[in-house]
Amino acid sequence: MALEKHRHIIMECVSCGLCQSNCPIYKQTNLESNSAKGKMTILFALLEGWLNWDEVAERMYECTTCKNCQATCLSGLDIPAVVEAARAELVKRGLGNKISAQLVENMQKTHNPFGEDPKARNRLKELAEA
Amino acid sequence: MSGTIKQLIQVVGETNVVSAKVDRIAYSRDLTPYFAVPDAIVFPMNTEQVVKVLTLLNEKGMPVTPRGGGASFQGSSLAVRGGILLDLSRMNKIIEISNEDMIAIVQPGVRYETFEHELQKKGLTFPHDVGSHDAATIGGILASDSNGHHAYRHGRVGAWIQGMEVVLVDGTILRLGTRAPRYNMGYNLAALFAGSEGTLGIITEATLKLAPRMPVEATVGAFFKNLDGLINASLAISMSGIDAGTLEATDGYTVKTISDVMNLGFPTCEGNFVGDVQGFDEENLQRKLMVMERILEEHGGEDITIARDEETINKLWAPRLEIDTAIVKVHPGYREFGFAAADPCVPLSKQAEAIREIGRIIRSHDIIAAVFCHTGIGIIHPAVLIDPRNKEHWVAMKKAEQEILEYVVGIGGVVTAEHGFGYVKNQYVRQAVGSIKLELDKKIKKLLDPKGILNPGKMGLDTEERDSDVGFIYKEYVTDQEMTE
Ligand SMILES: Cc1cc2nc3c(=O)[nH]c(=O)nc-3n(C[C@H](O)[C@H](O)[C@H](O)COP(=O)(O)OP(=O)(O)OC[C@H]3O[C@@H](n4cnc5c(N)ncnc54)[C@H](O)[C@@H]3O)c2cc1C
Ligand code: SF4
Ligand code: SF4
Repeated sequence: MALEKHRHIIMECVSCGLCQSNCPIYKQTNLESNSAKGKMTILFALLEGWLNWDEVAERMYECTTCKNCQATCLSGLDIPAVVEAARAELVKRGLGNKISAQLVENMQKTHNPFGEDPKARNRLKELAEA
Repeated sequence: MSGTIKQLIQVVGETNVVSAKVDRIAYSRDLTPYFAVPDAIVFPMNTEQVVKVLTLLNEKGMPVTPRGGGASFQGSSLAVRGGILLDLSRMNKIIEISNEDMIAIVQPGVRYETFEHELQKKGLTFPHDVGSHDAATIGGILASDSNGHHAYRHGRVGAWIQGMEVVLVDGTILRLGTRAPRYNMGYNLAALFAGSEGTLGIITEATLKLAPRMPVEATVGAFFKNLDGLINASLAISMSGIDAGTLEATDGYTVKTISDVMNLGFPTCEGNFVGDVQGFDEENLQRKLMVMERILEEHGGEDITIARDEETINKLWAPRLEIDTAIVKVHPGYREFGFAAADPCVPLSKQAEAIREIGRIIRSHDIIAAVFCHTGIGIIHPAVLIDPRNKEHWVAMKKAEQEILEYVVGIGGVVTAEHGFGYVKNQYVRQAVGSIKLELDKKIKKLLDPKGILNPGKMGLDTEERDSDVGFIYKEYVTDQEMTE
């Protein structure tokens, strides 16, 4: 499993929380599960068998992989590499990102990623011209 | 539990109660080896909601553990008895910054650096820069009576509380102090709540004294072949009357590890010194720097560097701050743990001896040690860096912890001077403060929290054990009970 390769990083996280300061997701939610600290705790619990893959999926997709956390991390840990490895495993297990799947489906059905009627664009054009 | 959660949702709203297992687990750790999962996390948005939540939980007799950023070193904000983790981080408004009164009024969830950033725009500072930076909240800093990096110059945070709003366990709102700089009106209860680690009430607002931001500053670094020279230099700087901001030391083993791993080319030494100093103008700063440089030289300081640019400043601070980054490069999977000997304090004249002896004690158990010291104020921070999958390392950490604390008390020092007792020091509390003080503390606790629901299991107040009511991150962890078997 790709995540096993990163087990040492998950272990090296000391739960200090320095990574909260510039995480764009955590800053919006103030929810520890969204910070790198929370993610490493969640993945640690997953590897120990205290959580299942389907329980962690949503939280693993709530990350932009921006690496801001690495910049402030007490131990300089490459958190996005761990998150990406977790995502790869999730996809293998049929737990891909529901939002990505929805975007693809929307594109196929309506040619618009948000599933809106493409004609709506014409209304914008009309408004702009008016 | 589900009935209580429904009632809590009625008070704070659905988005402010979190009870999914994955999220509860994300709140189960801090730097200590413990794993303590709360039953739910509740985020109040204002004082009124704190009042209602506490009233409800006090009626039910359910444990409530206050939490700010959760950056505690000592298990202080872990829900060791389960129940509700009361997370104040969403009460994060800076209500007012006043240059005229030199105060700020803030909610408890305001983050330290975010606050400083706003103060900076107005030429002010709240100079209690804890090493946990933006992970720390003002509520957590006050409730821990924290000791920032500039505590040498500015002291502990408690003295900077001009006013406070505290919600007591029965929902009563207690207001202490005002915008006026001083009051002397009976017992100083603000000082009691500062450092109470969330065991007596919830801080919902604080009026904080501010200081002017000094316009110029410099960082000074030096290496010493002999730790006595370093400590004497630090003392001479204090005696010179220079109001340095901070004076710090790192032991030679740590300097070498960091230098080797990060390729920094530091000279061989028994200790590294780093400090900073501020001035109200360039001339004032230069005069202080001249004296500091001379003192460092006279006491055997080598490679003395004065830095004003970020890159050199970071290099000078590397011995003090980069051990965690360095260690994982040479020992993958190793890490630091919050243990009970993380923050003792010794008489100033014993600092050199204590840095040496504490390092020796830890290394004598075949584990890696890094030893730091706030040399102006006698606080020593030993760090143990271990492989958590190795049972022997846990045994070594616990033996070293006990020996360090015995040694420190033996030379006239104290068990804890920065992080407080939290959970990890429960079994050392009586020995540290004596039975008379501990029993008095218990009476104060009983008066303010008769059912003992506020942050239970901490500060030796309702148990003098650790390891007995909590889970562990690593199955290899060796409990106190196993140590005595
Ligand atoms: C990397 C690192 C460096 C650190 N450096 C320092 C340092 O330089 N100096 C220092 O003193 N400490 C330091 N600490 C310890 C810790 O960060 C500080 O004590 C900090 O003040 C904790 O703030 P917090 O918001 O994270 O508190 P938390 O961990 O959330 O809580 C700390 C305590 O306060 C209580 N509490 C929190 N909010 C409230 C409230 N509103 N009302 C009542 N009780 C409350 C909690 O119950 C707990 O007992 C460091 C920690 C780390 C991880
Ligand atoms: S990489 Fe993910 S966890 Fe890290 S700061 Fe960016 S969004 Fe947050
Ligand atoms: S800063 Fe790094 S070590 Fe600290 S909690 Fe975040 S990921 Fe873990």
